[in-house]
Amino acid sequence: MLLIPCPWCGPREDDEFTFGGEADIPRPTDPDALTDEEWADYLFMRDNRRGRHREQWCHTAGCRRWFIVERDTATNQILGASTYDASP
Amino acid sequence: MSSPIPRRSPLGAIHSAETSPPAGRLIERPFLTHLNLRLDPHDAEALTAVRQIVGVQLPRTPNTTTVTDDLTVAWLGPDEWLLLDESHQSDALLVDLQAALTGHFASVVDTSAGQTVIRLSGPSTLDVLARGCALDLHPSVFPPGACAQTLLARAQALLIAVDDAPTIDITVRRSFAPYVAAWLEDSGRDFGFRFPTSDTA
Repeated sequence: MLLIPCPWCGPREDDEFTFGGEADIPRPTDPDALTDEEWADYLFMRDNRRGRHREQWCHTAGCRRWFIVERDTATNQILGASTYDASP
Repeated sequence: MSSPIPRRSPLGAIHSAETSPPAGRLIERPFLTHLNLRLDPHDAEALTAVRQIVGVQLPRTPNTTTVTDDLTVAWLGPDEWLLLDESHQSDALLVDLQAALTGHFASVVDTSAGQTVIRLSGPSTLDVLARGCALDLHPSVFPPGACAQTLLARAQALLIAVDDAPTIDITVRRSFAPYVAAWLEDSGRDFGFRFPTSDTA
């Protein structure tokens, strides 16, 4: 059981959240200009890194907002959470 | 003009039988007006317009409510609120808000028919809820005026602390109401809660 700190609602059980994958993947500004390889890379390729990982979560059963959580993928330790506005 | 089709609340307006000693009671609060309000919280003009209609500021602190005589405004998100109106003025509030927010990036949706409110009250209330809800609802951290959207027995619910009896209002979707009421009955049995479920109401 993870205790995820929603930036609005505070710490809640992970039952209330939906996982949204790796964060900080910007949508290409001009998708038509991309090759198939570049588009596939945007859509499907993720780092799957061990250690500190910035990822997206949605507080589905609560305030229904998306936000960013930093989590250590090896230990499952939650290192922090932020809104998109406050994110670098 | 009366409606040609009699309206029915999801739980048939259940009322619990009095218990002795009074462990607590459960009632449905049927036919409240539920309005879901969304607007840009940076739009000062819209906030002012809403305040003039509902009489109070929209709560900006997460998981809090503001309450007037017949209206409770609950925070649902940074740009989303639920208005629970007990005045039974049918569409008046909806119409007023929609008119005031025309031209603003905002929406007002009447969800009255889609959800209902179950009120649980009495000394054992928190024990009953604790069997299906992970949140700490003790008045020291969840005082009257606090609200929280969470899972109650795996059903999405909005909990509002009404007073320190304690009384908790549970807003659930219409289709979940019979399940949640049955779960509350089951959970409350050990604490002396007794009430008819929707089947027997």
